[in-house]
Amino acid sequence: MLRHIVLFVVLLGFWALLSGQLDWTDGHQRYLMICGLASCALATLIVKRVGFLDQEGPLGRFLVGALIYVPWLLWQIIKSNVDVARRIWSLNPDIDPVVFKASYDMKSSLGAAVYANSITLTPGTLSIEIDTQKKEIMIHALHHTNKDTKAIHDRVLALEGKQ
Amino acid sequence: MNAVLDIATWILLAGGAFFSLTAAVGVLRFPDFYTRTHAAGKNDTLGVLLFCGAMLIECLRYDYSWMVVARLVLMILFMQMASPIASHAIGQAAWTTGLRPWKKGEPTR
Repeated sequence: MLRHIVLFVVLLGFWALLSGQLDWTDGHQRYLMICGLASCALATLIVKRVGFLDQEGPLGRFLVGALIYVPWLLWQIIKSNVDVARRIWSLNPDIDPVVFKASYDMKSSLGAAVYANSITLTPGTLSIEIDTQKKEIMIHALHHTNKDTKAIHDRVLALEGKQ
Repeated sequence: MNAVLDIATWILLAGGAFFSLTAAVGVLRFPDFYTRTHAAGKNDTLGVLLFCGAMLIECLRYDYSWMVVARLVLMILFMQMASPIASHAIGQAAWTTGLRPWKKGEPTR
């Protein structure tokens, strides 16, 4: 229940940020605010019915861990871009694609999603399929030297924390 | 100070333009679907990031409303999340329909 209240408040804040029309005395803006309130409530209700939030791991920890993880990921994104750009502009592109499987140990679906996204953002790799039963990710790499995903795996695992 | 901000903005804009152009060239040059997804999905991410960084500097400098700044930050966050998800979705669709990745030495398609 707490999570749904937090979600509702976050949605309200998000809506207010994008709308920017928060003058209760103005009739039109008041109408817009009521509509925003109603749509946030509806979205929260739908999420509650789907039961999606209860399946996720501890979210608060994730947000704190993200403070360390995101700058590191940004650095990886820059490295990844330089790597791909170098291959694109070279006269004889040095690409030797391989597809391989990597297993993962994340418990929550959020952790797995963060892992898969990070793989896509880091040098030369692209996640193409997740098997949540066997806990395996199929990865397409631009070059067989890009096969190392252990660093990301360990960092996302630390981000997820023990449960 | 102004000159420093100007130069920083220009570097970010030029970098963004470079990486966006690189993504387009990569889509044309790479041999098959998956490798092209690498080019399009990755370099666009950094391109947009740099563009938004340049706009952020200019917005802060000329005292735009904090709402504009907040929206720019949100835009950066969403692009960073949306781009890998889109790449993954496209790649997965290709993989499940049975498109075989290109191997080194094969003729390009």
